[in-house]
Amino acid sequence: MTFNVELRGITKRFRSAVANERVDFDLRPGEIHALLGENGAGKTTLMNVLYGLYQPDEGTISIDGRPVTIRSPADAIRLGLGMVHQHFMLVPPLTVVENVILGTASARDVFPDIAGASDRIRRISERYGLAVNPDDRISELSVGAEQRVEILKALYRDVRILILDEPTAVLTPLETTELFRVFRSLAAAGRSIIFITHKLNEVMELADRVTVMRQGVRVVTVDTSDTTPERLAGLMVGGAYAPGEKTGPDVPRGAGPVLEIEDLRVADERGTERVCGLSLTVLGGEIVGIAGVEGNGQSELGQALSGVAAARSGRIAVGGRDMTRCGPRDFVEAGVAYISEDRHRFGLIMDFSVGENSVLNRLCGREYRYGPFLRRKRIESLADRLVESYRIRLASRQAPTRTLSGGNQQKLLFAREAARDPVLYVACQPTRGLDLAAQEQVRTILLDERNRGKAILWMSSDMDELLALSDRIAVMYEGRISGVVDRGDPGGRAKIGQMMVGIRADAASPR
Amino acid sequence: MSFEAIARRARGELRPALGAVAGPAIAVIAALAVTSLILLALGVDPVAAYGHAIRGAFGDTIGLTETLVKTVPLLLTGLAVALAFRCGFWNIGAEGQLFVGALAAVGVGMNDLQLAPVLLLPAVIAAGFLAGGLWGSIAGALKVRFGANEVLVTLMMNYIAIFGASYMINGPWAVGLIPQSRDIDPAAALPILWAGTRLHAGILIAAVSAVLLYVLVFHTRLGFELRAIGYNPDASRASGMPVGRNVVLALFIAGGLAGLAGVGEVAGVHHAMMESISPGYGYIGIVVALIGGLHPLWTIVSAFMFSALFIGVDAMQRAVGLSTAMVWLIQGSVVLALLASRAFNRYAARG
Repeated sequence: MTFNVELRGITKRFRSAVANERVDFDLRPGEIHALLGENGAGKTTLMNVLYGLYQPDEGTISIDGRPVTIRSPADAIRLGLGMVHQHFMLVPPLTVVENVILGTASARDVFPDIAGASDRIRRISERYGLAVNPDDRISELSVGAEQRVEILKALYRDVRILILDEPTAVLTPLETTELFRVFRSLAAAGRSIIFITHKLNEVMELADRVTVMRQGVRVVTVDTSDTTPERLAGLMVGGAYAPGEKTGPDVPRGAGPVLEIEDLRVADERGTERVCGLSLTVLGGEIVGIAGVEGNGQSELGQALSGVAAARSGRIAVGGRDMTRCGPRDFVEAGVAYISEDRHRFGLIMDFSVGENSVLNRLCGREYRYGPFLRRKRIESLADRLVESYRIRLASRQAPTRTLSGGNQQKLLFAREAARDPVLYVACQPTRGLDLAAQEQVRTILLDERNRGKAILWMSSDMDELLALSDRIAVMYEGRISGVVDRGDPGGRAKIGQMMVGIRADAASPR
Repeated sequence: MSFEAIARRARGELRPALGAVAGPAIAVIAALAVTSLILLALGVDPVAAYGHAIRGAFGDTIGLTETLVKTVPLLLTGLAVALAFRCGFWNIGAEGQLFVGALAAVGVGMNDLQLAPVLLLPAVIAAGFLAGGLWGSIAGALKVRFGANEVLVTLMMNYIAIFGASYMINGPWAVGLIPQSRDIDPAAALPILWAGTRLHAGILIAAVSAVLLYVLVFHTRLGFELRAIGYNPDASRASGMPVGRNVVLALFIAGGLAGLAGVGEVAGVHHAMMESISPGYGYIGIVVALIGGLHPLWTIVSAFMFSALFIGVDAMQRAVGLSTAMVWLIQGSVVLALLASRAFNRYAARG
């Protein structure tokens, strides 16, 4: 059979990092195809290659059976492809019709046929149930309506293949239902749809087939009728890395709780509640893994446990001391080491030297200053020590930290925190984006710290990593802990898979 | 090591050093080449004209001391801008901070409080610093507390300061019909360093300020935190730094430095408050700071060069009879070329 789209062996590298490695992908006419994977799995890169935004380093693209080269989005549109990006590309002060015809009129059309275009937009929107008034201004529309305009833009250009990057991320549940109805009517009319997502329920509800990607590689393409959400979740998060069992001794008896969280509620920067009544305890000498599909409140939990985000309600205690209302400085001084998943934003200052970064949160103490003055020599010798004992590779000690590789930046962050001798690590996705050797080093550091009696809260989307290293795994779903699995539970992986999609496992015993 | 590898390494190591010196030099030469063409078109010999400029700025005692006199406000406002920019605050308000500082200096310097002569000059300096500092920290606090855009706030506060000064010298402080305050007490004036010239002790204040600011920015905890905040306020906050307090404090110091520029003009040059106390030193200070790479010590060099440019081009104008528009054209070309060379350097470093 001929496919609408056929990608063969697509490889795309950015500097040394491989974003896509020999990925195959095909799309049938009239099909709704989900592209599923965690953030950073390479879904968007693959679609940007198809849409002409990136040129593949290797591999071929065929449209309707004919091999093509797509150099730009203009080429892609000519071939009948349309893409709706996660961030909409609309001009807010203009009307819907003006936005839709933007870029379609040729240079000769000094006076575009607005009325004719409006009529056509009305016909398209009626046919596919896209409720949009062509004369409305974009600035007055809801997010859902803006998205419908983006889809209209594509349909107006007579696109047969529509690509949508996380279309539901910004929608309310009602708008999502509406959008799915539109998808179905488009598919019924013979157009095909690729949508990027990391939400399993959407895949099951809407897609005919699903392609799962992980770490730049296609894992599998299956009919949704032949799979289950649990299996998809497993494929999405696990497999590539299979570390040996290497946890140290069991949690020492009598180790007290270092971190206690009770009924915690935290909102994100926009004010939406992301952590919704979470309770959890981490003991000294214990690694508690937090599993879960990303976007279920993990980053907000990490930010609340470092004082970066304020708790709305509930209680956070570190070493028995109530820290619910405390700011970042109190958390630093209480010995909480925060490893943010966004180390460029919260962890390091990229323009600072390694020496400056190694005392970033240590100048409250007296060790590295005489009164108001910095003790440059001590700072440099601390940096030397960190660089040496953690084997941080750098070109020069004066060079800004941004010149280090991602793995070495992460090691620097860990080295700085470990040197502070903290009581608790809050590590969010600490191995993400690192090469395998650096991942291994990060795991070793955390494991050593655990064996020294530190409490470790470890959020990860790599289930194998969590299963190998955690003493307990708590699963986070929609801002709550949906269950806890103990180390060595033989059915642990299956239970976690279920809890990740919101099925509360009765066998699990939440603490 | 292959030849290419050696060449690549040499390029990598030399480029920053070469760029730092060669870039601005080439920029100035290019700007002068362009203005030479214009001078030629006007029938002026460019070599003679530039000769007048160089002699005017450095050639004799008067020229050199005038260049140093003008360096004082340019350096102090340049430092004010550099410090604020370092912590991510776009301080367009040095002009207003200068005016407020000058007002306070005159207010104290007229000595209605009958201070002892020994105390008067220190009081004038302190008043100028404090007034400028408070003016600056208002803008800092508005940004920290309400997220107000500092460019708008500092720019608007300039008008408040400038027209406030205008009100004072046309109203309460007016002497007869001239919009000018009474002269300050002679004991409030900055001493002249070189008899027969206008070179006053303000140059020492400015130079010491630059050195102290260098120490503050690069060798103290506060400076470390300010630089951290300028690069990345989120990481700074997550590391436990009091971001808001530090920004307000930085703006207090920055405003104080610009206030000292006002003190220098009042107590060193004019000895009274007048509308023309600053021909836009606070705005030129932005360029001075940027060309100085926001580094306090390089800002000394940059302020001196700018001052020489202004004094030199003025001398050239008088000697060969150019229009004022031509003066601005030459100054503008040089500034633009210098800024372009900096932007180019950054671009080259990234690419």
